[in-house]
Amino acid sequence: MVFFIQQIIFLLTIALVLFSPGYFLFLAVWGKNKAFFSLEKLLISLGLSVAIIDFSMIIMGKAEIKFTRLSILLLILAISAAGYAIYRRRFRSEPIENNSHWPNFSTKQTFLIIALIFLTVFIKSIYLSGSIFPTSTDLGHHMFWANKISATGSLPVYVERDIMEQNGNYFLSEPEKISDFIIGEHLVFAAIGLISGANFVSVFPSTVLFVFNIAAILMVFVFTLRLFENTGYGKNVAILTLLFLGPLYAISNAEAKFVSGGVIGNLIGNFLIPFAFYFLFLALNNKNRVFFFVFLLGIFTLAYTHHLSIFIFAYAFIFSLVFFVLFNWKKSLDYFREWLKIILSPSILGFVIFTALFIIFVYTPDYLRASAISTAVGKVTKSTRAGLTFEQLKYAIGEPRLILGFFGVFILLFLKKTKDYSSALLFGWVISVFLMSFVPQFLGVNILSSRIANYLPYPAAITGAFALSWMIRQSVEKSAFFVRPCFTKAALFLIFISITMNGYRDNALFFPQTQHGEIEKQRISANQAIQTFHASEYLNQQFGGNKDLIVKDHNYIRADSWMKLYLLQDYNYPFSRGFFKRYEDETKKRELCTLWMISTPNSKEGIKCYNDLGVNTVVVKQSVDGAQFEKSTHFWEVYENDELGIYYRNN
Amino acid sequence: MTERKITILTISFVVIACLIFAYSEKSLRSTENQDWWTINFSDPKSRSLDFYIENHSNSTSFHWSVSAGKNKPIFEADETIKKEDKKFIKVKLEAPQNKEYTIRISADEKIKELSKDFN
Repeated sequence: MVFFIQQIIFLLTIALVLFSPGYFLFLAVWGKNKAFFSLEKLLISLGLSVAIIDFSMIIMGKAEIKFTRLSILLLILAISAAGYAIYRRRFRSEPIENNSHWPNFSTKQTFLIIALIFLTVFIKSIYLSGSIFPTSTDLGHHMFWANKISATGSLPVYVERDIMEQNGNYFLSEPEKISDFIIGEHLVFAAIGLISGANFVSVFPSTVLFVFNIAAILMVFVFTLRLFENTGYGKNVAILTLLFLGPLYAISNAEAKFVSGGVIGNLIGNFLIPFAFYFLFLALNNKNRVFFFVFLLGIFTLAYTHHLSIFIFAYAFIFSLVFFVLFNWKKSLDYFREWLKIILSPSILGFVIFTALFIIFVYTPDYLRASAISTAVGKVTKSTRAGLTFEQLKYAIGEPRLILGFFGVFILLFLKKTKDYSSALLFGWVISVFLMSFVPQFLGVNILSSRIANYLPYPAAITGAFALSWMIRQSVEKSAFFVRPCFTKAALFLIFISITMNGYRDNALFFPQTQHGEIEKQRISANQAIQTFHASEYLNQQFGGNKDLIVKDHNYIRADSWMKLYLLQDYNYPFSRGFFKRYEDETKKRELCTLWMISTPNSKEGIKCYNDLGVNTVVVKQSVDGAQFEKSTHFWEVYENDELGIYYRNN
Repeated sequence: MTERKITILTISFVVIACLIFAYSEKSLRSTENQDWWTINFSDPKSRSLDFYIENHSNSTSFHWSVSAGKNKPIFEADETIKKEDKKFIKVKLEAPQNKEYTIRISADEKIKELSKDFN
């Protein structure tokens, strides 16, 4: 019963933090206008809530208002109440217009949509139920910051201390800035943790990421409905998009694997990118400033959430703009005037000035420093950033999605509708991400190409769905392709089977061969992690003060990156013996103390490191590294479980 | 109304999935799925040899001994510790010597050790 109540509280907290403030802001702006259908309202509420929570908490933090359960609750309630009050004032006497944009899906189509959403959630859930236990390194790193925000009640300072060497002596550096983390990745988790009381070392973070993952797919679905709203085939394109993004390839790379892996920024970015494009499209199509305002809010939120996502969006936006101008060259001046009418308004300009002042004076994301930008833009420095081959791209996004995605772009190019906003947006989005991952050197992109390719499935799913829908229409309506309709239909059927099999085969790769073996593997992995957490509690009790310094191993200890959540000192603490190959990386010289202190603690170098740094506690996997400490007279073995040993250096 | 049905069903699917995740974690953390035990000094930095045995395994019979150097055990005893229980063992050394003291604990063929070297 206690468990059930805890889960209800947790789910209500997610609804409160991730939907409530956004929904009331939605009401304040649009009332109960039926121009948006309920799924759109849900997704718009999520996007607006993320923006509200992020920027409100930043302002609170800067105003030195402590983050507590009460203060965050009051914040959300105040914003929700204000939104509702504005809604009542503005829309009290207005009749609710029944101008719904929900397409008239047939019963079969509705059933298909529900079935696809069910399959998407089902397949991801089956995979995640076995892999969602908190062991992921990346998620551990992120949750350190979320936990720190929650524990300190203040905004995080993204710094870390490193072990340095000078003239043969070792010392700890002063805290140095880290540009890898962006505050929007942590604030929503801190808010949910504070209100619900949920333990960060649990499935709570991955559950929140799962919500964002499903929301991203649905956001692309509703965006597709809007993109093809004025065509007779838009419904089919949207359903096929849902197929390509939902149950097919449901686990690979940027999908369920990222949920359990804790790739927070990418997952939230996958939702905010189509969210921003959705409002940009609505703004341009309807010449509406309010939509444009929300578009700007969306990209502002994206900029505070994930640097790679905003980078991808920037390129996609520029490409879309260039394509639109090229396709509408003769009327481009007219369009510029139209856009200026939207942009040059007090509300829009006011918001732009506000965001600029916010970035400069209130909170500047660390990645906006010149040094961080210069590492991502410019000459390619490593082979892994030099672009993927077609073969690699095929594996990254799935062969059918790649082929159909480009076929869709090709068809769009030669159709009359090329000249509209929807085509330009799709072109820009697909082609920019493709070029960034295939030939980054021509675009001055110096980022891991496989990370960029993870962004391709979303636009490729739309254009691929469009291509498949077009082929179906050609075969049904026009008996085209110079063959009998029955052959065309058979060919389409085979294509459809091939796409489905490819997508499900990709899913199958991530499922175990035997269920029993996998269940045992999950139990062992969870046991190992639980023992790491138990050892961490002991470390915090006995060695959590300022006088002790701890080093641990990253190679063999399960869930070791979560140890820092128990100590909550520095991001880089406990110090860690990293992957062995990193110590041999010629392009990035590293200190060797963390290697020596564990691998050869009794060597001259190891002893010097211990003495210079003052490290006095070591955590290792007993069966692998225990022997070198047991031999030593300098170390006491003070803790042991089935996995780990803790050694204390007493002299 | 069909679009509302889709929204409500979507929310329901996601809520059920979230409950499945929570249940999956609860199951993995449950007593039945644990099979490990741990030992640690109550004060790892001092010369005290008092220690804890914390049992999360199916074994309940533990044997412990305290030795100084390579000599025979000074103390030893058997303990019965139920699963999920933690036992504090006081080790009173009347005249601690400048030796390495080793505490050896065994249960069902698994052996763990703690040690402090007073040399």
